[in-house]
Amino acid sequence: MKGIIFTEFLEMVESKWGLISADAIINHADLPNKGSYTAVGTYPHGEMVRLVVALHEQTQIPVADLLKVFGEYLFGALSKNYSYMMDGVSDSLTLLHHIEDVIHVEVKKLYPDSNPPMFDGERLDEHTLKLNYKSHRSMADVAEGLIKGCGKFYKDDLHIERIESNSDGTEVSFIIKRMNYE
Amino acid sequence: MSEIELLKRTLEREREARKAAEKTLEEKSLEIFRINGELRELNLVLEKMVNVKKQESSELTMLTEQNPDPIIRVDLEGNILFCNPQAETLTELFYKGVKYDAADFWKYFIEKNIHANSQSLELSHGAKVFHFTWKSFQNLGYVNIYGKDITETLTSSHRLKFLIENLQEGVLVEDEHRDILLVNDAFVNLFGIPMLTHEMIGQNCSGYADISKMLFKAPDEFVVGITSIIRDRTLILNEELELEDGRVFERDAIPIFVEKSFRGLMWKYRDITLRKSKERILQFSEEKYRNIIRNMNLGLIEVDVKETILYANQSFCEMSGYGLDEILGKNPTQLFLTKEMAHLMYQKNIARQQGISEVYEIQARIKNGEMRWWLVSGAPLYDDNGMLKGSIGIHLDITKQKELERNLTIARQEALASVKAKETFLTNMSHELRTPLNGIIGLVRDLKRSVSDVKSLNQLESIHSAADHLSSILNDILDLTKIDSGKLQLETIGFSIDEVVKRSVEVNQHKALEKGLDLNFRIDSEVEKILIGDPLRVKQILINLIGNAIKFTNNGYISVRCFVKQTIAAKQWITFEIEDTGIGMEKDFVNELFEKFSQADSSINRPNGGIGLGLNISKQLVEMMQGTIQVESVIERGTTFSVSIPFRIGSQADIPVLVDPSSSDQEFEGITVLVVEDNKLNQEVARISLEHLKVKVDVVSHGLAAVEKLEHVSYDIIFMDLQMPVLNGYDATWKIRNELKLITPIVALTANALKGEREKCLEAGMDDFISKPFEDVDLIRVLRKHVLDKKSGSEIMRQYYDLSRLMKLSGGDIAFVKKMVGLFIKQAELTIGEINAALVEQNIDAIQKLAHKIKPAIENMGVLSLGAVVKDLERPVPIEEIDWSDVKNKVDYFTQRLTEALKELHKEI
Repeated sequence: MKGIIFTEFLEMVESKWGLISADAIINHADLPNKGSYTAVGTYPHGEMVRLVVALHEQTQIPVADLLKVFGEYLFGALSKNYSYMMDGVSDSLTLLHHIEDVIHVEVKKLYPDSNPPMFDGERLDEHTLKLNYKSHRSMADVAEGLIKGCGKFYKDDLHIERIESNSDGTEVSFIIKRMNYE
Repeated sequence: MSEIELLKRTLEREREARKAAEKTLEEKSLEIFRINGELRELNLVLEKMVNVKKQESSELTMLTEQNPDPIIRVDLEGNILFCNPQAETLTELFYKGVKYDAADFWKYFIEKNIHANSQSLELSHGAKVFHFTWKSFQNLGYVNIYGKDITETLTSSHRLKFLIENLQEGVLVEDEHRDILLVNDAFVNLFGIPMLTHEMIGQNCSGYADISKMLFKAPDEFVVGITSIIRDRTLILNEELELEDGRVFERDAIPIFVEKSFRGLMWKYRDITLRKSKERILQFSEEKYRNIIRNMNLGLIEVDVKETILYANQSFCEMSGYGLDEILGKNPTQLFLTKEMAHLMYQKNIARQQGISEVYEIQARIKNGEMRWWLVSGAPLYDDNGMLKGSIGIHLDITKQKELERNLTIARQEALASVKAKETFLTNMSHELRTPLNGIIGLVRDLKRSVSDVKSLNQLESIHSAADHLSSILNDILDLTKIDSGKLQLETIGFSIDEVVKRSVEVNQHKALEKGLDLNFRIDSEVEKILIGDPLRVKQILINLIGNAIKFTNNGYISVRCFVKQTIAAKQWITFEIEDTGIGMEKDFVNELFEKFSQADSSINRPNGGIGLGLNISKQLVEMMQGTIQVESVIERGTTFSVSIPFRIGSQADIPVLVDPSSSDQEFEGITVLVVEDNKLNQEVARISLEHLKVKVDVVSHGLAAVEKLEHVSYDIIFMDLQMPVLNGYDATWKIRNELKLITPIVALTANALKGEREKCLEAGMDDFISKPFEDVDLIRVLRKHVLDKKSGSEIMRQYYDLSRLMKLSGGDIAFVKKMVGLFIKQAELTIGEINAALVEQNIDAIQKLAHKIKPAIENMGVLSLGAVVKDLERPVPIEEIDWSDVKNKVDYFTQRLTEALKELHKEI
């Protein structure tokens, strides 16, 4: 998993719950590198799981909600660092539709060893997008948060319907409707 | 947990994270560097591959371009995408002359042929035939078309057939069995065979000769000919056959062998009737011109551009002395011409090359070594294409004419030289004779003045007369010379015919009296009083004719008549008739009368014969005056000369003021003259004549002496001879004018009384001209003109009066003179008052009387300036003719001069 995910996660924890909580979580998670993450690095997915669990234990907020909040936060961070990837895109559905064939192509160029989740977009109508999430990391919650963050970024009022395609959460479909045009 | 520990941990984490990031970045950089290297290698490989491909591609292009057959690639629309050079030529080839764009042609080609699903196509153009195939690449959107020049590969029979069918010649091809393989329309038409060509093919033609033989003039020969050709299987070309109907055929018989075995014959017949007749006409005309050229009297040669003789006619051979075989192939310049002529010929050849024809003369050396002049007319010669192929020259022998011409030129030069020599001789002779004669006459004239003895006077008179006669002969000779050389100039001045006739008669009167002849004259009143012409020359003619009449008349009379023959506008034709009762003349003699020296005829003894120039001069003078002279003569009865001359009618104004030959003793007194003259006699004459006029004379013998003299002494006038030793008159004058800067008048004295002489003198800077022998009147004229007139108002005017005459009269009694002067002053003062009063009253009588009264006194006092005016004033004039302004001018002048003289005369008392 890309380092930026870890650094942004810890940033979020710091900003929402303070430096002490962040330190506690890092200590609690018992990480091999003691929480010293860099955005350019790549780290095992399990460490993120440990951090999320540690946060959950600390805050007692359900893991799913934490991940959704993180996803929303993450979009903001990514949109700041990688704004050039969004050039010429003026609305949320278009961006989401092209994650796979535009954004992830660019990500693969930058980080050939990265393994981002798959987002297959399918335009149902002008204001509706079906987005199929597929990842062995089962982090559809982060994906949902990202979608929400995207809507906020473009000031689109998005209604998100979540369909679990299997039981282990590795494949999830989102029916995203843009409400502010209806 | 302390806050510091927390921060320490956080810081530691950040440091760790940074280190990890740096490590990652380093790894990434290395990786990028490595990948970059790999990429570069890859690029090189790619570049090599591209070059190889390029090379291959260009080689492939060359392959098509060098293909001798046309290759074209067109798109499905028919637009040409590619086309090798052969195809480009081809598109032009096919539609040359038709304004059809090459690309359009191929479009058309595609539509017609490719889309129509055919597989190949043959197209022919002229002698070339092309075979086209194509391959379509529908998926690539083009069609490749491959052409092939199959001209050569077309079967020979195919071509032959095509050729034969279209021939103008009649052709028949038979096989070894005499079966017809091929026959064309022309053949059928020539022989008038009533079948179509395709019907004949396959038929046996053994019987044809017999059927057709009647068409020919020699039918049997025709058949025999064919039989022998078939038998011998020999090639026979251009055999002429005459037909009964007048046509002429030309036949070729060509046996055909295939791999040495006889396979038949080809017969070719051509109708050459037209050609034959043209040839005959041409031959005839050529023959005609050849004959003309061969037989004409002008030598003709033809040369090529290298100047080699190609042809020469008989006349040329005769002219040059060479045989034709000696001339042909030779170079005419080398054969005939000298070096200078060769140079001329070289220029002429250049002119030929420039297409210029011209006529020129050359000198040629002919075979026997003689030089001949040829007049050559050379012209360039062109071939059928207008290219210069040589030139042609027509020669005429003009040697005789040339010689004649040369002799004529020499003769003319000699004649001119002799005329010139004669003229010079006569001029010189007259000069030589006149100079001493001038002296004789001058001295005799002077002697006559001083001798009182009657006998001596008579002798002197005879000498004078003889000298005058000699002088007149000289004048005649000089006149003739002048007339002959066109140097005589006639004057055009007003004169009185009356005077001229009267004078001419007077001059001869004493001769007539001596012979006891009656010489009378009559002048018609119709003759104008004043006419314009040359009175001296008219007088000369009349004196001569009258003189002649007297010479040849022994009894009877000479009658001179002058009348108006005709008046046209402002001209009068005056006829002078001189009739005598003399010995008369033979008709033949009359005819030669006016010839020069006609009196040299010694058969008639003439008592008073001159040398016979007079009549000739008279005739020439008359003709110069646009007049005529005629003679009628009867032997023993007499002769009448009629001279008619046209004169313009003039008026008083045309009469030049004549020199008053009389001069008072004092007129020229005090004038100093330098005479420059080499001849002693003439020096004397001049001195005596001038001293007679009371002029002070110095004499020097040549120009240089004059110049030297003039450096120290000044004179009023210089008389200058022209021909002198040491320094002649012209050069002396030049020195006087330009070196001494003197303006003293210089008057030429010359015996060379020729036209042009005067101009020469004036150009040299002289002022006037006197011809020797001169008369006193000539001297008076120039002295008045050049000395007195110029001095008037200065030195002469200072001499207001002259009392010498009075002194003489009184015998040197001064008291008497003073008394007279006193009386004159009184009378003059009175007269001045009275004459001016009379002028105011316009009383002409009184003026005349006053002038008349004072005249003797003025003469006695020597008031010269008043002599003329007083004479004028005293002359009675009819009232109606009085010009008062003129009278006033005269009276004013009289008053002024007299007053000045009186002022001076007062001093005498």
